[in-house]
Amino acid sequence: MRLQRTLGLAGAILCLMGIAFLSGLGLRFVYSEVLPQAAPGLGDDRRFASTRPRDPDLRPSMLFDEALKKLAIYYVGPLPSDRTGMAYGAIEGMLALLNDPKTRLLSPREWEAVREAAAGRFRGLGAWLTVRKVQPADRLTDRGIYVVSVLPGSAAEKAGLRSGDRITTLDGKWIIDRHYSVREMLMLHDGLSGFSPPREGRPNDEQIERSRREAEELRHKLLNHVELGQAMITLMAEEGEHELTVARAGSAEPIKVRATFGPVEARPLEQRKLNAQTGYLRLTVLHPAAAKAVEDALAAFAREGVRHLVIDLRQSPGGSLDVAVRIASAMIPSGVVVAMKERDANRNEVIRPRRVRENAVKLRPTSVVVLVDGGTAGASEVLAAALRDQLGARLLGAKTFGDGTAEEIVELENGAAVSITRGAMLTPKANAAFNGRGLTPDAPAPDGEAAIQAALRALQSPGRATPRRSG
Amino acid sequence: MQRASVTKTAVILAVAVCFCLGLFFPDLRGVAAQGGLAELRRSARATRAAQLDPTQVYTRVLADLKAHYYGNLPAEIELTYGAIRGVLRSLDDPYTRFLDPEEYREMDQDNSGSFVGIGAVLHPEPTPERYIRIIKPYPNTPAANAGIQPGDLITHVDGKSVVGMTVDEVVKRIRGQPNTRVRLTIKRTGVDRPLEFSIVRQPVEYPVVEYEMKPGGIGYVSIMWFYETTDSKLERAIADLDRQGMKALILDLRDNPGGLLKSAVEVASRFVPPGRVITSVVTASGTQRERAIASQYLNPRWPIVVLVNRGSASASEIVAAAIQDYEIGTVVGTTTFGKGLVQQIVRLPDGSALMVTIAKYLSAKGREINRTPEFRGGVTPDVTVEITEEDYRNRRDSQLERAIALLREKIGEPSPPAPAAAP
Repeated sequence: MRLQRTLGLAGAILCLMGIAFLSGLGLRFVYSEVLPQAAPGLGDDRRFASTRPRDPDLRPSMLFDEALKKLAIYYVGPLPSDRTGMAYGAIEGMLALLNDPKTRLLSPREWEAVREAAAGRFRGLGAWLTVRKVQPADRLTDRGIYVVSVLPGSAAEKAGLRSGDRITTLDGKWIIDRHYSVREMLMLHDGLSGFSPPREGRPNDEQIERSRREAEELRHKLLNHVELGQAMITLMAEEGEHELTVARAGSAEPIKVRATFGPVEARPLEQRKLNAQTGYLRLTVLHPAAAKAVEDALAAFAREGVRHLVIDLRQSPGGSLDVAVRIASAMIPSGVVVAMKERDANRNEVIRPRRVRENAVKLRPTSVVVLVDGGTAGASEVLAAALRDQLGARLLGAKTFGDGTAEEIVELENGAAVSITRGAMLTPKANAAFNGRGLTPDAPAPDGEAAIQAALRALQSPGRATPRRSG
Repeated sequence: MQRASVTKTAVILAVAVCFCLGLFFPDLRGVAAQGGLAELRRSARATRAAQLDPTQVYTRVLADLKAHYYGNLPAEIELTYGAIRGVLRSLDDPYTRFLDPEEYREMDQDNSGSFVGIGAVLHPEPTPERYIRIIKPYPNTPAANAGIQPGDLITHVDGKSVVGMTVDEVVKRIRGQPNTRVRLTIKRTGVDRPLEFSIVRQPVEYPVVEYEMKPGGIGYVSIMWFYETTDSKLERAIADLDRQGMKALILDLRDNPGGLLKSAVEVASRFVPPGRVITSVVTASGTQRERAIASQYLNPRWPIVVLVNRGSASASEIVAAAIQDYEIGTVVGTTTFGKGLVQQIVRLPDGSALMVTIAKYLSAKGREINRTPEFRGGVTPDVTVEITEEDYRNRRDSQLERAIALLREKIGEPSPPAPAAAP
């Protein structure tokens, strides 16, 4: 009897505990599920109206959320179950307002290809590419793909591509940066080729003919196009035979080329001695392995009594700014390597030479010549300007590419990235921005190997090693 | 006694603990996940990470832009509008779009049937070079009086380039207060230098219905837009033509971009016998049939031709398809645009709005009208008449001529030897 009573009591207590647990859980759900949703409630416009209209943190994000919710309720079909496309749309919608060609969304594959290239591992065309505003202005697109520099042994080199070339078509398709949907194209097509009934004030035959031709051409381009981001992926990550059209300054006709895309490795460094006292270094992509190789080479040169340097930065697209600073630090004793200007002046930065590894010997060359060309870009331009301004190096060759911005990379969970222009790099002495302008060399130089002979002659000419003051 | 009270306390405590356990159960699960389950959860997150959440991504990129972007950053609300536009654009439905508060006000004004501006009809999409094409100036408006011509391209408004602007933005700049001036820079085909027009803004009423009696008792009614007032103006026009002894009717719906669904049903009810289905509106939740309204029916005794072309869209297509489906009249011209989607304006709390495609509609007898990349859609005329380039040069409206010829046959009047002049 007593046992039964105890068991009954225990059962009742257990039941009570269970009920307590469930009611606790239930209460939690009521609070976590219902209440937060009640705040930006559907169709509850008055609630929004009562929030302060200029609350900078609250309102826009709530508005975005609200727009998505309303869309899900009213839209005729189901929204895509994978919302990635909508998320990309949101990013591109914001970035479109900035009018900055380099602040871009990179798809996972493009971002991977960019990282690989920065590590010296190229695929596709084997060229360092950039996105710029189209010059001269194009009817269909604001931004175009430009060749910065061409890697030795790459498909781009074999096809004869050059720095500054704009790639306009890929496999017969026009590269367009704006996302034209098929529907929009249909509308455009109708708008262009449909005739309305004759009215007063009609243009003459010749005008009709011309606008018809223009319309046909545009229609053709729109119906045969590839989006810029997609083209970048093919150009940087794919293999096989491809056909390109290239627009080149100074060439009236577009140039058609065929190329076999494939992997090509950028060698970190080429080093040799031009004579007993002169060392030669050729850099391509500035990645960490290159910094170490340069430090070792300079140490070896120092031991061997090298006093003059020829640094070849032709077709060197840059890479890591940090690597450029490390390389400069191996030669520049003090001062500024590069200055960075940001929107918020408080964050402006001046980068000074790094402390070099303890066992490394700093080379103090008495004279330096830097070979540059239109394919010298980014971090390589930083290096060239630092050597010129702080070491009195002479720049020989052609005007550099002019890629002098720094980017902030925001990586997204799916491997895509948003590249945000965060600052402009300035030359050390004149504090001059070189983005879009390039560095002007002190003297021209012939092409190919002959440039190295010209550099040797320049090393012997007077006036070297005089730090310049101008930018 | 003491023992009983201890037991009681223990039970109460146990119940309280269980309540708390329940309350914090979700958190405890989180704590557990930090340990042994962490690996499992991480891999689950990795699979989920292949997809992005729009709101999270928007918040994150906005914050990073604010923190780092070097150039001038637009206001946060503008960036948000941009993000919403981008999301809508990703749906690949050109009719689902965002209206900022000002665009919404303009849209509201539009629906009232009049506005203050210059009175030019703009093409709904910018040209490929991103200029804005003027379809036509309305007659007797500031635009027409200033010499604006159909086909003119607007390149600048008040000196500001329209490249990159939407048509709505351009409309916003052109409209304004009465008796103020707007300066338009126009690129006209065949004229090398840009043309400058300084035009005084005036109240403009949308011409909705125009009509006239053509020779031989052929009534001609042109409907430009389906508005609230369209049906009553049509009724008056037909009554007037009837008084003048109309024997046949031409209903010109060419370049009519549509308007209100309600107006299309009212207009179609003038010709379609009461109770017949005019259109079926299909939403995710079901189909609603719009039937002909008995009180509207005119019981037409005259033969009818409906003129359509590629610019006839939406409400125009509903009317043309209904008349075709019930064999009330003959459709003449070219296949229509193919816009079989209905939009609704959904207001957002800050005064902006979404224009969302909420339904598609089918013709009276259930034909698909909407155009897709795979399906041409639209209303195919019974008699196809293209305006050829030669007609165009000779300024002959061959579609109208064919309509008149067809009706003359039907009412038993011989065609005159020379074709009638264009309107």
